[in-house]
Amino acid sequence: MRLLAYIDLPSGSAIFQFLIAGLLGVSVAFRSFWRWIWDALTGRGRRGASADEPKPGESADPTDRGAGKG
Amino acid sequence: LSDARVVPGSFRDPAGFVFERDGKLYRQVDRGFGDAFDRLTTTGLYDALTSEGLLLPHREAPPELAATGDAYRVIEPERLAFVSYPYEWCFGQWKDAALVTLRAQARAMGHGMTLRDASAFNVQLHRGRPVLIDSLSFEPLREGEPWRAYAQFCQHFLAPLAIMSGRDVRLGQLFRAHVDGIPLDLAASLLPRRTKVRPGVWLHLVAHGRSQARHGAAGGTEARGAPPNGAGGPPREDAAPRRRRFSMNAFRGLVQSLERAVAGLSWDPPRSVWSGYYGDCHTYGEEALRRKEEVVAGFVEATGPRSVWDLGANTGRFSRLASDRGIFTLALDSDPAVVERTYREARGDPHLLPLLVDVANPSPGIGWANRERMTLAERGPADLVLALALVHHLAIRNDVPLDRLAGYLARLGERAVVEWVPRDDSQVRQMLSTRDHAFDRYTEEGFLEAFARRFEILGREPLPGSGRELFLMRRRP
Repeated sequence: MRLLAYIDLPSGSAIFQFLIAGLLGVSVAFRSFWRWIWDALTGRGRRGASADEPKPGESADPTDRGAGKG
Repeated sequence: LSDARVVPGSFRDPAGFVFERDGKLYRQVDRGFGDAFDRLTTTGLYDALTSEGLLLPHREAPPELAATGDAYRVIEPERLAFVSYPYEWCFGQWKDAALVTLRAQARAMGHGMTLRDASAFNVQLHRGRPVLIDSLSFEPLREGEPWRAYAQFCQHFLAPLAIMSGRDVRLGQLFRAHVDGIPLDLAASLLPRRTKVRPGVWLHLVAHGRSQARHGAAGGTEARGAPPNGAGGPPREDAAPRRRRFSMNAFRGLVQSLERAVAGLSWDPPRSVWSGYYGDCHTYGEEALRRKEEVVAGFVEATGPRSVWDLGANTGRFSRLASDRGIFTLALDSDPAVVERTYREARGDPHLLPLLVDVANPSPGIGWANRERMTLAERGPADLVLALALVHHLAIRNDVPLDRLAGYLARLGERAVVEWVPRDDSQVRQMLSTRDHAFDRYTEEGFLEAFARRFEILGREPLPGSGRELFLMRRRP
């Protein structure tokens, strides 16, 4: 058993978030893209889309340069 | 103005603190956090969160009420009827609290802000639903940085929910020992394989825990561009030799992924001894049960309480006699199954709050100096305590002497409705049959003598056909 009480755990969490950033970003992009396709096929347009979610290929953050990029 | 008394559980927040003055609770916003606090309002986030019931509303209070000289604002949050702690929640309450935290984070991101902490202690059950209570937890979103509350969210919500769902619901009590959240490596070691392999659990709990262990030590972080930080703080930008950015898409994906992980965890209460108590047991005939309800309702109306604590409430059958009259009522029970059932039925009821509390081992004072989280008794007293079919369990099964029992009930409530269950009752006979000493003091005379020292007896009503009796008492000054 490893005792971790002396370790600064949030540092490991920050690194972990950077490590999985690409996966998470791709997941959101894929879902947005799929929603866009679905809306186009069903003719719903942007009516059902959440205001919080960006269109495929664009980010809600204008300064966004992509997940985990150096 | 009377002296301000700082609430002991509020010292960790660098942005302000909660204090009490003239019987009212206020929150002081310190100057260094003024900008972030203003943005909560100017961005429209405060209105969005309060209108959706995600954040406890507050009103501005006069600045002269401030407790110290460095106050920026003083606010008066809506008063909570009762402060509960996560280790007193059933699975459903904990899960709803987790989802409220994530929804608040999603709304905050939409307004250019973020939660800087995700403590389960920042959520309270208010008017039948969980709500965030800390208006100072929001800060402006800094582009490119990861969620600094991620580890805390996983330790305060995902880890307890996963072990409660996957291993045993009673493991939620681990939170009493780990007030900063259940360590992820501990949670992962407790999980069965079928829970561990769920994608969200594996990612945010198992792999995340491994990453904490591998990269947590200070030397391991700077080399990878995400510098070490203080407890819960964001990575230091200037220390990053080759700065990475955490995109908004990744941030959004993180919150959505956590939401899916939490939503996928479930626990259905099995049929337990207590959950079928009134349906199965033959202690009461239908007439005695009906008479018991009439008497309890009569005592409640006669005393006109503003708060009722029903100890050993089971599924809240008698608690509802008070809550249905608009009286705030706590339904306390030690059985996770009955608390879960009561919560599911009472969800949204502003007057009934079921909580997981074992009266034989009530919540202690924990955290820093044992004062950060209050004992059960410190959160009282209630105007009226119900101890129905409880005394015999505590006196015989838990070996609590009757005079100590009377003393504790007198601490919990101004008045009490206590049910006396005689020695010849089938339940008591069954309990005594397995005990190796005679409980000679467990007699009606012993009961009356013990309780008369602490209480004045205002009324007594027998329950026909059962040999049981209900007493209405008022504690002696």
